[in-house]
Order: sequence, then structure tokens, then C-alpha cells
Amino acid sequence: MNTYFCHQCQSQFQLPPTATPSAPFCSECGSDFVEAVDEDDHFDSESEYAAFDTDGTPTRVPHAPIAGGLSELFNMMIISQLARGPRTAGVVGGTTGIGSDPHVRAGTFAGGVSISSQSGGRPVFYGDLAGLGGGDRTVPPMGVTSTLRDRVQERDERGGQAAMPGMPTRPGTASDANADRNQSADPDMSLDERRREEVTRMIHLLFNGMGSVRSGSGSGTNSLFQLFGGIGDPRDYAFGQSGYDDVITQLMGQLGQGNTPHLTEDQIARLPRVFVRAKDLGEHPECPVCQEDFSNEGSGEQVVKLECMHHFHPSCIENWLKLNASCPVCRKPVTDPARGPASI
Amino acid sequence: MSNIFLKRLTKELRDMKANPPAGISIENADDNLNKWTVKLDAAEGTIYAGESFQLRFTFGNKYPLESPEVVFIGKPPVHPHIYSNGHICLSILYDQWSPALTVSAVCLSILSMLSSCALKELPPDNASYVLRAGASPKNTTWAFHDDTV
Repeated sequence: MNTYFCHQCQSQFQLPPTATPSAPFCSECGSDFVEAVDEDDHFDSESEYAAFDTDGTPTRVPHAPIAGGLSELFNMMIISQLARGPRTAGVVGGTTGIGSDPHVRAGTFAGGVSISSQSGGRPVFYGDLAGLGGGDRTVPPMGVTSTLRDRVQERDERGGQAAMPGMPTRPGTASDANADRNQSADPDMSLDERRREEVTRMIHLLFNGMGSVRSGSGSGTNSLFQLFGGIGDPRDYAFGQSGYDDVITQLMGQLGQGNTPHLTEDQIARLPRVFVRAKDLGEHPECPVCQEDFSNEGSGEQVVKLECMHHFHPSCIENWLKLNASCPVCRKPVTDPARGPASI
Repeated sequence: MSNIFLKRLTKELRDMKANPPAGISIENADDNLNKWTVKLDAAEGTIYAGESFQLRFTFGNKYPLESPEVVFIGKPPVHPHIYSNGHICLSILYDQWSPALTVSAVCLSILSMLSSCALKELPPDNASYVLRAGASPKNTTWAFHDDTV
């Protein structure tokens, strides 16, 4: 008998090998979102590694599919956190392709979909984690993740700011989700701000136990990884320490430069300006950005004075705040006096 | 090349030559100021005492709004945050850069990083990082997790 796991009704069923169709259906619910479960599935074995490689070299699993799978996982997590609409991913196709193409399979593994747990044979399903803490949240089935991702990229290219990774693209669904979110969250918060918050939270949640894992004590019980049923050492799921580092790096990268809070020209124009003379500024009579002393002539020079009492040439600080809304000297966040925190 | 780039680097170079901070000396700076070589002499009483190292600073046109690329050339110190290809894992060189930082401040940070180190060992992921890292550490996405050394 061959064992399958149905992702739709979350149960296992068996089919005799002779009757195994090329596209198996769940005997319970008829869904085709099923997956063959290998009782002996163990990723330490060389044969499994070999299965990932197109040319059959059992040495190394390529990096790229892993990274891709992870960002998909990440997008999915954000979807389920952000989109509380009832049918986030009703767009489910099925499992076409998974398991047949080694690269797809590798990517899927990295996304956590097709890992079987060592004990029970029930696949550890990262999607479960995304649904954690909210029964009303729909988890997009794995078969569609790449589709979602493509659409996200499309949206990003097309829509700029308003695009949010993993947001459903069907018009009705999107507006449902939006309406729902707007009711539940602070309406003053921009989508970007909310997204950033969620992303940060997810990283913290997921890797809360990281420190203890690294130091080897192994008791990262607060880590979402354990909560959603991850068994063993998280590093095992990412091909050792360096793969694990890649995971972290990949996730951190999504919070990179592009998301640094910054101010617009209008916001910068609203920052208070004062006249100062170098001789009144004590030990540091220079602009910290260009390192030139301020003028002493007449009533001095017009400068931008941040809340933290640090002074800058308007042109010097403007260029910096457009990149990063923080004081170059003390790193205190700089806010638009008229509107509160900087946008992302 | 912006005005501020030349003005600031000229001033920094002049200041560092006039008042070099302890253990830091400018060995060479290009005529157009965008590549500097700085010599670091490790502090006495540290595990690197008696050793000296060379840093290469490469300034982009957007300096000081963007961080310089800073790498060890020659033989880099063996340190848990310094890779054997000379790349340095130090937040102020990447996402924690601020235009108020200077060549001298960066050198002091690196010297202090050496001084506080108790054991000469390579970063745990040195081999894999060096294998796939690009030429510039600025193209690496760094995860900073240890500020004890």
C-alpha cells in the first residue's frame, strides 16, 4: 500500500500500488492536493539528497531553490497574517509538478511542505504555523505558492507602493481582505507600515529560539518553529548551520535597505530651522555630515535642528533623511513634526 | 563627484595626518581620494599586540551618505568577525552606517573589535562565506547577532 497525505482534510489514506493513479485523489474528500508519504523519509540519507539533483550527483543541494522556497514560505506567512479574508487562496490548483521535477521538489522541501516528520509519517506542514493563533486565517495550499509569488512580483512591478506580497489578486477577495483589515487595524497606519511590523514580528516569532539553538542548549521553546511542530534541530531543515544562516540572511534581507524609514522632501521641509553661530555650539561647531564648521558671521547660519538638538546644514541632512529617518549623530528616529512617524 | 565628497575626504585626510589617532596611520590615498590604505597597529596588551594590518577604504560618489567599502588587504587578523578574504562583519560598515561616522571612527571601531577579542579564531562559517562571497562585502546581506567581541 502507498500512503498519501491529503492537505485538504489533513488526513492520511492509502492506495494499493497497483491502483495508484498518476494524479491520486483523496479517498475522503476527493481533493487532488495530496502527497505521497514516505514512511522512511529522512533527509540525512544520501539518496534523498541525490533526488534533488538533476544530474544525480549526491553531493550538494543547490542554493537557489532553497532560497526561493523560503521566500515563498515567508510570503505565505505574511499572507496569512495580513490577509484575514475568508478565501485568501481559494485559487488552489493542486499539486501539479510537485515531486516530479527535482528542482520543484527541492524548493518545496525548503518551503517545508514535503518534509515528513520522523515519527508519525504526517508531513510537517509549515503552513500550519502560518495558521497558528487564528482559526479564521486561511493558509494558502502549497501548490499555489509559486503562482502567488509570480503574481506578487507582477504587482510589485506594476503597482509600486500599494503592492503587498502575497495579497490575493482576485478583486473581490482583495477588497474583502482589505475591508477586514481596515476594521481590525489602526486606520492611520499605512499598508507599508503594517507590512513592516508583521514582517518583523514574524522573524522574531520564528527565530526566537535561534540563540539557544546556536549555543546548543536546544530549548528554544518559545520559537514558533517548535510551536508549529518542528521536530529536532531547526538547522536540520536547512541543510546544516550554513544553510540555516542562509535562511536567516534571506529573511533579514527582506527587511533591507528598501524598507528603511525615510522622510519625503515635504516632510523634511517642515523640520524646524534655526540660526546658529559656530561659537555658540560648544565643542562641535561643525555639521556632522560635511564636517564643515558653521558660520560665525552675523546671526550665524540657518540650520536644521532635530529634536535631539543636533544641528545640520539643511542640504546635508536632507539628503540623509531621504535615505534614513534617523539622526546621524545619535540615531534617534526623526519624525515629521506634522504627521508623526516616518513612512517606510 | 559631489562637492561634499571631496571637501569631506580632504578634511578627513588632513585631520588624520595632522592628528593620527593611536594605532592608525594613513599609508596611501589616491589623488582623487577614493581609495585609501590605512595601517592599523594592534594595541599593546591585546592578543594581537605587535601585529599590524592593512585596511583598504573605497569611497563611492555618495560618501558620506553611503558607507565606504572597508576590507582588510594582505593578511587579515584572525578574528571571529573577520573573514579570511578580508571582509569584516561590523554593522556600522553596512546598515548601521551614519554620515557622522568618519574614516577615523571606523578605524577605531575595528581596532576596538580586535582589542576586545579573547581568542583568535575564524568565523564559524568562514569557509562557506569565502567561497560564495562577492568581491565587495557591501553586496553581502549581513546578520549581526553578536556584539560581545
